[in-house]
This record gives sequence, structure tokens and C-alpha cells, in this order.
Amino acid sequence: MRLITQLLLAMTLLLVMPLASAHGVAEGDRAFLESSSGLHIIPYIYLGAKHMVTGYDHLLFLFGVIFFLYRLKDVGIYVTLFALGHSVTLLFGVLSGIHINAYIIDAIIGLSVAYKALDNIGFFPRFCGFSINTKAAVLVFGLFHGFGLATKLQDFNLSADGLVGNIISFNIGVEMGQMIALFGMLMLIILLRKSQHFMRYAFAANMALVTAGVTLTIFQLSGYMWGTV
Amino acid sequence: MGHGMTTQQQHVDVSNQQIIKGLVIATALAVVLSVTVVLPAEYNKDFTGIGGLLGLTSLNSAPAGEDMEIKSDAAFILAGSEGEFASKTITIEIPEYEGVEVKALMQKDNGVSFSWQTDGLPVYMDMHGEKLENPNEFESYKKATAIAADNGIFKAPFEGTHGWYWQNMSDSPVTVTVTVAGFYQSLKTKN
Repeated sequence: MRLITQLLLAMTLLLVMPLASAHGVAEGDRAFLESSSGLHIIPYIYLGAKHMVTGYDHLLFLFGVIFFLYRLKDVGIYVTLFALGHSVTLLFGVLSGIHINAYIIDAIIGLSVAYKALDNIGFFPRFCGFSINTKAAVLVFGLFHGFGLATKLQDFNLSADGLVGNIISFNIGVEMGQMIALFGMLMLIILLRKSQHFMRYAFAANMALVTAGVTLTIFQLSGYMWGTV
Repeated sequence: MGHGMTTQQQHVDVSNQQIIKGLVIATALAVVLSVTVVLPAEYNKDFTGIGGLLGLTSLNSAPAGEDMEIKSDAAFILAGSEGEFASKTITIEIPEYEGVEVKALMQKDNGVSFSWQTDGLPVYMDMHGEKLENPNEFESYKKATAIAADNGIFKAPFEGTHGWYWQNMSDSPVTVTVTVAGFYQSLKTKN
């Protein structure tokens, strides 16, 4: 039993680590996106899934969201809220042609990671005297994540031909990628919870999420100041 | 470990002081990491000099194709590149004392590189262009009374046909081979 647990952990890490390398859409995919026109359901599903599985900011946020969710039903509710949020703005963002600066959106996504970690350690009721409705927060940050996805797609000169179908395919892929990533993260966290020292790990893990979230935010704000685009 | 009824209130079992300490460390780590590693590597902003010591700023010195900058005082003229890149070679025989033309239809500011040579004898050459809207009006770019080969880079000053008139000044046929590569719509022979 112990061996199986360890194997599962190793496999999860192997799956998640190398994939979570880059957030933007890779160069080869860019060529495809820009040169193709018409409806391409499977390629767009694949790109959506790949984007989610390799998008570390989305993954960190999701990891924070599920950190203290013990019941699968709760995982379902929160992930659905997140998916609902980012689907709305992904579709709306691309189809309306509204262009929000990608760096600002990604900075907010970085903040969402730090927020979720603070929420997990009970920061708001303890230090601010109020608690934020976590479901509403996940939905709202889901909206920002969706704009982030939209800005990535908008970086490309997408053909108007078959655009709606392609975006929907991309979105379906995002949800599928999210499910894959979630599966891995749930396994990881279930294994962590088996440890007697989980609560101590939990604090350290959420502090690490704060570090990651703040670093992402600084990185994106610097991009806004000094980056191209 | 009690499985809480309200799952979102599953908070960690640490004191307020520990939380503050943890957050200070976490935030400080984020700032230090950003300033010493991320900013030098990503944006070439090395405020501390540590990025340079770690060799991270060199990540930025390799020019990326997309970020190519062109100096305004560049010693060359940038040509446009509308349409498809084309490369074509035409070989044409000019009978004794006759003349032929090879012309490329080009948009304004598009560029081509060209190279031509005869099979030996020099010919009279007039490199010129005609405006598309007024084919009778032509502009001469280069003339030579006895030339056996030439090459160069050409940028179209206006939309129209640009190319060469070669006249065989000898009493035996001459063959001219011309290659034009770049951005143009067509390359045609005209007698």
C-alpha cells in the first residue's frame, strides 16, 4: 500500500512538473493558429487542454482552491464555479474583441493565487475582521482567468472563419485540461493529507503559494512596465 | 483532525504571530526572487547586479526575431515584402542587332535581388521601370553601352514593371540569363 502511494506521488510529480513550463502558447502552436482558417475542433481542444495543463498560474490557483476541500462534492462545486467564470470571459473576451492588457490580467491572476493562500490560512477573518465569500471569490477570479485565456488567444490573428466553434473547442479543451490537472493535484493533496504533519505542511505550502503569487504579480507588473506588446 | 462541516473554514492551526512571520518571509522571498532573478532574466532589469553575476542578464542579449529593432540611420534601405516570395530564372536568346525586355511587376517599395549575365558578349543595357497607370512614362535606373553581367538589390520606387532592356549590338545571337528573387507578382519577357 505504501509503495503504491509513493508510486502515485512520483507519477503525479512527473506528470505535472515538466509540463508546467510555460504559460504562453508555444511557437509551433502559434504558427498553426495563425495559418489555419475554418473550424478545427480537435486541434483547438488540444491547445486549450495544453494551455491549461501547462499554465502554472491557473494550476497554482486551482491548487489553492482545492487545498482544504475534503469532499469531492465541494471540489465539484468550486471547480464548476471557476470553469463558469473563465468560460464566460474567454468567450466574451475573444468574440467581443475587447482587448485587456495581458500583463494586468496576469498580475491579477497572480494576486488570485496569493489571495487563495491567504484565505486558506484564515487570514481575512483573523486579521481583517471579515470573511470573503469563497465561492464568490472563486467565480470572480474565474472571470479574470478567462480574460487571461482570451488575451492569449487574441495575441494571434485568428481567422474569423469558424471562430466561434474554435473558441468553444478551445474552452472545452481548457475544461478537459483542468480535469487532468485537477486529478493529479487531488492525488497529491490526498497523499499529503495522509501525513501526520499535514497541518504544518499546509501552512508552509500556502506560504509557498503566497510567494509564487506575489512573484507572478511582480513579474507581470514588470512586464507591463518594461515588456514588449 | 475533524472534518469540518463548513469546508472553507478548514484553517491551519497556527498562531497569528506565526502567520505574520510566515507572510513576511513569503513576501520578502517573492520580492527578492523577483528583483534578483526574474527581472534580470526576463526584462534585463538588474537593479542589484546579482542577475548579472548569475549570468541571467545574458538571456536578454540574444536578439529575438520578434523584437528586432532597426536603427533609423541604417545604411541600407528597407524594402517591403508584400505578397509571396518568388524566385525565377529566365534564359532568353537575343538575335543579332535586336533587343528584348524582361520586366517584373512590383508594388511600390517592394524589393528584389537580381543577377544576370550573357553567355559572353557584352550588350547594351537599360535598367528602367514603367508606371502601372502610365506605361509610356518610364524612369531609367542604370544604363551601360557594353556590359556582360550585373547584379544588385532593387527597391521599386513606384508600382509598375521594372527590369531590363538589353540590345544585342553584335552580328551573332547572345543568350542572357537573369534571376530575380524577392517580392514581385510576375516576371515576363517582352520583345
